[in-house]
Amino acid sequence: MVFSGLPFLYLFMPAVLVAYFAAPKKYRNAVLLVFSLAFYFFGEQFYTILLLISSVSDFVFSLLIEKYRGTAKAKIFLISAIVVSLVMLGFFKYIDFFITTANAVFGSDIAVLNVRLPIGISFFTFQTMSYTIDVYRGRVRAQANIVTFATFVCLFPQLVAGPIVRYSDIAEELENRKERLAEISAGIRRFCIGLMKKVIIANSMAELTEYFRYADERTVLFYWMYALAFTFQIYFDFSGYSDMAIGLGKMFGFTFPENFNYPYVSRSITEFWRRWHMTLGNWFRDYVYIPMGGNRVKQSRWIFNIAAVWMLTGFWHGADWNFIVWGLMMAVLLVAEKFFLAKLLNRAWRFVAHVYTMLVIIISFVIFNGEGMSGAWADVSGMFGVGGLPLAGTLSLYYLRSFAPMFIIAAFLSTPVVKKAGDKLLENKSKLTLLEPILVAVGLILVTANLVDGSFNPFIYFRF
Amino acid sequence: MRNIATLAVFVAVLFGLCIAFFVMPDVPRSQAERRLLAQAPQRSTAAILNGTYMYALDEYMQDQFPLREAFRTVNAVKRLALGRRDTNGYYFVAGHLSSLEFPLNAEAVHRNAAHLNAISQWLFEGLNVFYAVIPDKNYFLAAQNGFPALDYAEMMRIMHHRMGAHTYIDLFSLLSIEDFYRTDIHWRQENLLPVAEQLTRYMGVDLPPPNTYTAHTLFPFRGSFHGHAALPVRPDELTFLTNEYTENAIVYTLLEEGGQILFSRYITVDGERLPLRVYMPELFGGMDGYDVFLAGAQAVMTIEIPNATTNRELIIFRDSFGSSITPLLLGGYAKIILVDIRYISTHLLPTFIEITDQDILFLFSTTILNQNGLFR
Repeated sequence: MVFSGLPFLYLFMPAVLVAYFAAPKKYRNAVLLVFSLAFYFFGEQFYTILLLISSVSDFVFSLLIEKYRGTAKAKIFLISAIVVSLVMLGFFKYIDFFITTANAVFGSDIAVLNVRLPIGISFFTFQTMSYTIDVYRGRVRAQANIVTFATFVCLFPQLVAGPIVRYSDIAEELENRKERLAEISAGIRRFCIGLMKKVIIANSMAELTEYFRYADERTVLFYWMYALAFTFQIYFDFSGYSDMAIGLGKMFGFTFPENFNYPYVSRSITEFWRRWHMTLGNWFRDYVYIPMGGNRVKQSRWIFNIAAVWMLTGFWHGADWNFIVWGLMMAVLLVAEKFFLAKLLNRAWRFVAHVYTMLVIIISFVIFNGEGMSGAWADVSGMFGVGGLPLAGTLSLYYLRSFAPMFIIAAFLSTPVVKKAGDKLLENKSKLTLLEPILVAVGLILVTANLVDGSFNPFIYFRF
Repeated sequence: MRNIATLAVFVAVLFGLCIAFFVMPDVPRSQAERRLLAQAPQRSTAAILNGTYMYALDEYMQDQFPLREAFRTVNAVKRLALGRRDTNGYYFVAGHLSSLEFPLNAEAVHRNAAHLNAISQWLFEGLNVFYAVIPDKNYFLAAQNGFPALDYAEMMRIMHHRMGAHTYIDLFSLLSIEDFYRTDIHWRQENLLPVAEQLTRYMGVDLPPPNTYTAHTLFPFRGSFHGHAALPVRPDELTFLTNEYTENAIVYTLLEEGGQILFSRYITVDGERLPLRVYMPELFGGMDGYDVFLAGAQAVMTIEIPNATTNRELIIFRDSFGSSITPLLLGGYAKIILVDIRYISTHLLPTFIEITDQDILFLFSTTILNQNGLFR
């Protein structure tokens, strides 16, 4: 089930809200767990069992780690828990990629298994691994209640598209939380903002990328419009989902970590990654980069650490070479910025630094969204007119006129200007604050209209 | 106060629409979109376990959602308000709705024209064969208003090249956007007398003067673009013209009855047997108001004119545009046969049509000629 769907909004949401708030406090986790499993089952019937295996495995291993803390057994249980998660992830997400690569390298003819990727597996395996590692490190106590722990793993707001919530983030709220009116109201606001970002902006941009894919015309202008449209689509889709998750969390009394902080205002790639998918970046920092030695090692080793982490980051996003190249490209740029580029950017006009960053980000997302490496290369070379492409054509000019206002709106909303103005307005106790409920109503109606009309509504996390 | 109001609005919208969804009865079909709507999916363990139930539920909710048409209109207006030039491929300009038609599918035009020419060579050797092409609304609206359009010149070059020596009757220069319904793809019959004159002039036939017709108007006519675009556009009036020939004409259509294919003077609509006539106002309130003209889509029709003053006959190979122009040609012929090769295989034609010395007219719109695989 997806948040931006009629069954979620008008069947699941009313049902879960009634059941949750009608239930006595001590049963509320159980209510959330049942509804979370139903939410996942709606989209992934058979694979729901993976979610349960993941929950039970890390629950049991963490209790054993705690029981045998300080002994060699604790380490064995930690490794066992990680192996279960990685085997699950490796098989369901990467097995066909490994087979295809092996066939290409060794000339073998192993048949691919065509394993369908379970939605959200990259998110929930990372969450459970971080929990078990944190228990091993003594940062959190192992949860002794299976319902409470499974609620953490399966919690539907963040199950399929993040943010990657660590157990430590919500450990206290899992045990004892209060659903306050102000938080519920803020959650509704955040949820509606996310819904509008996804349905109105991201889906509109997705339409343009789809038109590009199926059009006969290939011009430099069309390639750039596609690149820009996908850059906006992925941001508004992903950050919209995060907003919806954070908003839903608030409605049920949870405080999830922020995942995006206006990444397109960045003036370097280093800054961009401090603002983009922050929970993933922090996860790799805490559970991969720092254990590898971080930057407190020899320069050559540090470069290796960066390359390894970013290769893994790319690979996490999808099982194909273009994702690995995308990650390695980020590694090269981050190292370059560390060595000399950051100094140059600091001395340059802010505008130049911003253009550099956005140019790199746009090209990187074109690689990210390419159909394999050959597709990615074709798209990037098309942006620069390789092969003597014409600058523009009838179709690209038409779509430029048709989508220009949405590009401007998306660019404007990629900056914190609107949020700052909104926050200022909310601080004001005047009648203008009634604007919020009006905007919530208008937002819900516009989103519903979009969904009822059957407008393009892609789910882009099927590869994650 | 603000928090309470936000919560109240959220709960009202979510629960209000949820309750309405359960309370309101399901609708079998959408008049506006001219299609059957999804009905409540059957629940079964197998359907739930393989996910088909969830997929069907999604479709069902989308089709049966309360205030569905109003929401579709809101969405269409929102898209245009956000700067989009079209909504789901439909645009509104100069008071008209139209659908984007591009690019030229040269391969389809070649194939369709070759198909028509092959029919002519196979069945009509030695007869007078004419062809005419009806421009779609985009010819008058698209390029002039910055929308992508077909390369009409290239389309006609292909048609002339493929149709060989047959006589071409130009209709492009006779028509303007005012000759089309504002909310539909089709042309307005009341404006087609000059078109009928042009066709019959080439074929050497005299038509009764325009003042012999009586106009009958039906309202509201919401054309196919109206429902698909879902924009709040004023409906059209649908006018049809009658005279002594349309009133007395005997109409047959080819259909299957009791396992036999035969010509019948009746059609069955929603289980009701209706006598077939040139104009059928009783179909105005059906799925497509344009079905008033010769009962809409039919594979083969024969129209006999008992009070004809001539013994000439005409065979028209046509699409839906032919339904509204044909009544205006009745005064010049004793019998007209209409063939729609989208609904009957070409090789069956000799079985149902007796070819003597009729005039032959191929009359198709650019929209049909630009599509692959329609002709059978």
